[in-house]
Amino acid sequence: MMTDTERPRERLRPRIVETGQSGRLDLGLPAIPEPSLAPPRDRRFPSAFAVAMGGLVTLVVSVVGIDLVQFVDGAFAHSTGVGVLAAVAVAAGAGGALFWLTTELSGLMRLRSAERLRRLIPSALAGELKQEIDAAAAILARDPMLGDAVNSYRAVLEPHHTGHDALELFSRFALAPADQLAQAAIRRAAAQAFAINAISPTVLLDTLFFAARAMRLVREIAEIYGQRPGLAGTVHLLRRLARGAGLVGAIDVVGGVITQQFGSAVLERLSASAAESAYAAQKMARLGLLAMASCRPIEFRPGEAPSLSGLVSSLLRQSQRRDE
Amino acid sequence: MRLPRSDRLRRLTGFLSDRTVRLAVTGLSGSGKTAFVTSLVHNLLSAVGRPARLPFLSATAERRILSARLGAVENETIAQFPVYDTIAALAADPPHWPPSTTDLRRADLSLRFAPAGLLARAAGGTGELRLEILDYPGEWLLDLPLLGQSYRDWSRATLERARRGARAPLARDWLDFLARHPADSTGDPEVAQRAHSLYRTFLAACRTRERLTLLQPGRFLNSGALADPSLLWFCPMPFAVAARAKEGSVAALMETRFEAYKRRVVQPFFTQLARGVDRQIVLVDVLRALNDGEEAFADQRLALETILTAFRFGRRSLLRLWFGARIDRVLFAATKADHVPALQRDHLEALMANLVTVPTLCAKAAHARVAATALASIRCTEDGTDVIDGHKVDVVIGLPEGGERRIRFFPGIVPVMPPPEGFWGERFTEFPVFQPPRIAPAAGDGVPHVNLDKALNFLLGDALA
Repeated sequence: MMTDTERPRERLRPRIVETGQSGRLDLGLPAIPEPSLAPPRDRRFPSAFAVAMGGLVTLVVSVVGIDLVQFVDGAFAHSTGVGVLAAVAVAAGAGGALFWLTTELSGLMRLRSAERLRRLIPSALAGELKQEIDAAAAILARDPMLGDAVNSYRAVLEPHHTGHDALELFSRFALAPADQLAQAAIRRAAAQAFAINAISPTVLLDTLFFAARAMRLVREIAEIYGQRPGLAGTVHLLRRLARGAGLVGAIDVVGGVITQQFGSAVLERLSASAAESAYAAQKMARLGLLAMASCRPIEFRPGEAPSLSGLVSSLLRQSQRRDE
Repeated sequence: MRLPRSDRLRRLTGFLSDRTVRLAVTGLSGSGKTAFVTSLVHNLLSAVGRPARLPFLSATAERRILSARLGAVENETIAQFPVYDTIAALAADPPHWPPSTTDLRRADLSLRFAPAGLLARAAGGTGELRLEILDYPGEWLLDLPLLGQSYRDWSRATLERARRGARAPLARDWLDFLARHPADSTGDPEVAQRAHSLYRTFLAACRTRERLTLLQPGRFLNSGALADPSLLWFCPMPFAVAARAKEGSVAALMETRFEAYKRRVVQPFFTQLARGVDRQIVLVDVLRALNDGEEAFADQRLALETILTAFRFGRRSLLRLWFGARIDRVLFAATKADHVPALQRDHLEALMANLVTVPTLCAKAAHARVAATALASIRCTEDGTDVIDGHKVDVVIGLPEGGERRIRFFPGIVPVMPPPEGFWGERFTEFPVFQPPRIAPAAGDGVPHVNLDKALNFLLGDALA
């Protein structure tokens, strides 16, 4: 990378410098590197809310800890056998809680590192871009189904490729298969939303099912892109989704418009209840697309994002085939 | 016997997918045409076993190329490109660059592929792309503009150039001789031959000493296999404005030979080159011209623009195929991109695009697709860094041909626009020639390159779809 910009008049002249190395260069295709991703550190100071929450959690943990110590102490006062049993039970409970906490934290860290990459990649310099993409590849490689795709990307990437070349290759070899998996997940969720809406006896059941399936879809898509969120991660994702979508209610507005547009083509062929089901499926697909856009390690380039109409129409075709 | 329906469908999709593409590899002498053809052929032959060499060519990235084989040239008037000899040069120990082409050569390649189209995929058929590639001495291209010029016009333009700039001191002997033997003096064949000889010496000096490019006729520097060498015994003569060559004069003799040269040498070459060509890659050694100085750079640009006026561009259509094919995709490629580090390759590409603004506009006006790139058909270097005059700079590292120790080469800062006056300093004459990488003689691992796959995707991507 150039560290100084020279004016033409003062430009550095071409130069040849002999090195101490001898022998031919090895210009064979690169060996596939081992994935390595160190989670980036967030150097920002914690917010007031985080400090307050930290204090409260410390208080609760301390109270629970003291209670547990008293509980074990009391058990030992009763008899040694009961004391040991109580200590084992407390240790098991604490271990389980610690494991859950670790999983949640690591899920959250993965989300944060993926988000950091998304922020950095559009503005990364040519030299940095390859490192950032390598980190994104390491995230995707965690998905067992995408391991081969990431390996294909690593097999074609050569040292002479520029950052933009690396981005193009990553998109072509690693992200395209992930996108296909995500689209398949969306189609599945939308088909289920369509079916449940058609047979659901009450609106409440229908709504509950939709919410549960939507949450599962978001987690599924996040997992496809290597993020595997826990509970905290899912909440974080849903918040991000709501921000990205503007409002969840906006889905209804958009859905209304699309239903109108689809009206003449679809409603003539389907009954009113089927149209409602199609609308539910379309809402699920819309949510899935938003989740895709939100979880993808690199933003979609123009013309690359899958379209809602394409997903919904393929779903309707599937449904019609099933009816026949 | 009637074929089953599935076979008939497969045959129909094959008919739709099969295609012949004639690729003209255009470039001045030393621009890397032979290396390009060698690398292209070897990498496509290796594409089935090693698709990772060409990740930007969609058909290989999607593993749709099923087989590739080198075909025998059916047309006996053009000899076969010596693929095995050029590959043997790169596979030798130590490897060396294949010699430049001295005559017109053709390589035919046949690629069988799985089409990407919905219909063809559903039918399960395969397509075939027959690729015809032409290689020839770069100097010959400079003759193409002569087809549209009269002897008088060509003489006037050439003499005007010879009296200016770096050419003037080199042309002194020839111009003195012409001054002693005016155009209307008696047409003595010995005088004509002596004038031709002096003019030829002048052209050779322009090329070797001043690194100039626009040196016509090209066959004076590389004659190839000419049946009648006397066709070359002419040179430009000074004419008075609106004057015509007097009958029996030396100028008339020269004019007769000039017209015979055009008719019997240039026209047949152009017919071979331009007939049925539908894709063109124009290879330009921009980097060397930059290092050769302002006049060499300007001369190369002028030569390029002059040559490209001879080609016809336009979108493919049935009507145009009927009345004569046109080139519907043109790629301008700055070669030796491995002589600059990765960051500067974007500069090189931008400079290439800016250098060919006029031909690009002409091609685009005819609805042809045009692009510019920086490529190295055979990559010989790797990137590194160095500190020069206290500045940390990117360099390329490679083994110079004939040397034992690797060198770090800093190519200077490549401008993105044609450079202004203040840019030019002393000519850099030590432009390195790196040893090519040693490759396996049999197709399999391919040849290392920079952006060859992008170039192929632009030129052949639709034919392999």
